Amino acid sequence: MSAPGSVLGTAILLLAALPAAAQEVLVTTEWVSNNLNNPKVRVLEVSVDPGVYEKGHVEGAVGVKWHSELADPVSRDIVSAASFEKLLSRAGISGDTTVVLYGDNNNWFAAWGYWIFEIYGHKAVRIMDGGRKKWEIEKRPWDTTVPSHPATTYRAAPPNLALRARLPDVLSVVEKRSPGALVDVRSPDEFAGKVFAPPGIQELAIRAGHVPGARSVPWSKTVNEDGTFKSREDLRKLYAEVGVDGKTPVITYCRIGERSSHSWFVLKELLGYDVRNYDGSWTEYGNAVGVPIENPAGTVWTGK
Amino acid sequence: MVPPRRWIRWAAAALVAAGLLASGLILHDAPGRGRSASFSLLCGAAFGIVLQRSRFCFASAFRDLFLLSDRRAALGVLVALAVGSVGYQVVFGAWVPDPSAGHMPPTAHIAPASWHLLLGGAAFGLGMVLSGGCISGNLYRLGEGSLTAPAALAGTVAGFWAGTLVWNPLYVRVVSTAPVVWLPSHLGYAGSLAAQLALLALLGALLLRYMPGLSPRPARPVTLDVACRKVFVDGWPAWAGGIAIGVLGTFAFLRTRPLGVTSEIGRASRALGSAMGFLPERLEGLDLMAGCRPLDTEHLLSENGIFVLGLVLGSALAALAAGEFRLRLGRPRGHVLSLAGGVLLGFGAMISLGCTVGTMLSGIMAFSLSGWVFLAGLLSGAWGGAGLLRRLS
Amino acid sequence: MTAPKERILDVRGDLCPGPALRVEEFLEQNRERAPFTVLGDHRPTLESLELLAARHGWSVEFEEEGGDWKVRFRPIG
Repeated sequence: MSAPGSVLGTAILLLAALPAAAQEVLVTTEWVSNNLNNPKVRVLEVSVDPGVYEKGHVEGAVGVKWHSELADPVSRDIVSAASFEKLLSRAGISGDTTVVLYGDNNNWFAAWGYWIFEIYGHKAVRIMDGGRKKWEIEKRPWDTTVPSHPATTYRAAPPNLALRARLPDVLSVVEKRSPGALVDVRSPDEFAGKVFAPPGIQELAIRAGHVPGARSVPWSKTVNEDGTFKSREDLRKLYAEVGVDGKTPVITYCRIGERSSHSWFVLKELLGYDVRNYDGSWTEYGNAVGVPIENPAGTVWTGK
Repeated sequence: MVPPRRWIRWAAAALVAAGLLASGLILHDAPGRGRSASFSLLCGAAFGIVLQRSRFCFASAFRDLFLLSDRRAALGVLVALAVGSVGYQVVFGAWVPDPSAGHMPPTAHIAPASWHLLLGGAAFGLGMVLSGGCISGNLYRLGEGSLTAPAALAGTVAGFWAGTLVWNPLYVRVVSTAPVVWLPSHLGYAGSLAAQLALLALLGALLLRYMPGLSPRPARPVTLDVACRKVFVDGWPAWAGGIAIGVLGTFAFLRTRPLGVTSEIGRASRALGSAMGFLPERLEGLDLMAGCRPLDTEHLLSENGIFVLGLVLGSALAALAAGEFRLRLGRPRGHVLSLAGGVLLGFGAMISLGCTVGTMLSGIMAFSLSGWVFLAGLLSGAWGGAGLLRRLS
Repeated sequence: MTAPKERILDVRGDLCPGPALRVEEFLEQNRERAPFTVLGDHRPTLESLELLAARHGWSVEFEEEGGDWKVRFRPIG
């Protein structure tokens, strides 16, 4: 074979491999079902509704408590490296284990988990497309025994904080000191400032509205009825409609930071854009002193 | 009002049963509902049937000990607690392999234990004796056609308001610092099961020793006709009801939530009171952070509401089949006592975050100290109530 | 000579423990131990009378009549 021919051939193979590699961040329920006994795979469930995991989970899945094991329970921050290592060691995960995450509530918290795993540099992480919802729709069996795996000694990589946006980063984009596109994944009413938060929710901000320049793309537009993500083409079009096409770095936010990790996953892992998750989200921004806010509905905090 | 003839009764019972099953199927596939809601309805119906058939009345279990030296209903309660304790432990073993690791089984009614439960239990105990039934008792009586039960339930709503008004200071001063004592975390599973069963056995032995029972009736040969009468018409013995309730309690815990009848009533009372503007906006310790998780605001009835509805319908079904369904007007004095007792029921249930079913039954089955403390409160309240009834009659 | 009419204690509409308390009072006053009947409309309430009867040396028999229940008390011995 001639030299240009082999270069072309290699290029074709690489190009063919790329979408396959991009495909790999999602696994189907079918794949999980077939790999339940695969020693190189570990399934973790990240659900927040009480009792959901215990009443029935994918066989062999380890339950992860989001509030205490993926978030710092005292200080508002992501889980520390030490606690993360303890969690993974307990679950019997080693550096080359393929970790599959899924959960309730549309995989929001599983997506947060994915983001944390990426921050701490785990090599192979996947999300089970559709989460609990799809598994239930397909009437696959649930298990109620809590598995025990032989413990390992897991070492996390130093945190990759390029995946995380902090308040100064967001302000930098608002004040046009650095390029960026902000994506707000909350409901249209919250975005417009009509309400501070959905009814009955306790975590409020003192001001309503959105970060100036942010585009509204509610997370629900990125998934199908059965909980699976829409096709890459549809997602690309969805974000292109609001001017998010990957040419500028993106920052996603919501109210607390969990739903925004879901959209972070879509933009970064499925579409390959440069994205950071602003986990402080509106509960930080809307309570911060002296930051610019866009409040179309004009709702004012009446300080009752 | 004379109850309708036998075939009308049976037709009505069949209709109610068919309605329950059909609703169960509809809920199963309804968007936003699902298996859990369907199970709640059917579990509630089973609970209502058992309560009505075995005349399982917590109020009489306590009251008749003092008033009539009748131990039968109390024994039934002890049997329910014992059976449920075993069932819960089986579920614990699957969900929480190591009880001493610091994690509690989710959704189990394990609550902070302090003197607020004695106060709540005493109020509830007094209320249930005065109104002739605890909250579940009034609900199943409602299914039998009682028209004094609505008075008790109306009083319960007012009682919840009263309890809500004192909740915040009570929480801050008492509940927030009260210890949550889950026995298995201290004694292990085997140790706590042995200790609790021993205590229940001791209480049962005391009842058997010091309160006289009935001599058994001569046994009739069991033909199909006799068997049908025993199941559908005659009352079931209290111990049989107790076993059924222990089993239902375990099933409910495994599939949905522990047995309880006050969650929806409390929620509705709070919604009504808030709409009328006199309740505090936030209840400390109860309005917890939900995170991004959406709260269930779209449905008229929560799953507990579905359970309670099932309870009333199940009781109606059993009463119709047995010929015990009848619109009973009751006497004016009965309505007044029901209303007054109901207020005490609601108050006691609010500050104890549950009633004889939710706090006592489900708490003790879950090996929580809170269940036992509430039980002590109930005993003292019922004793006082029995004395009051005697003086009133 | 006709037999004296059997006394009927009407507890219809009473909530438990009303009937039990009334019957207990009646039993204590009924020195001649003449048989009597309790008329009620709620069978579960009436079932609690059995123990009361036994304790005071009476036997009971249940009979349904047009939706109401008659509990016949007969003295034992």
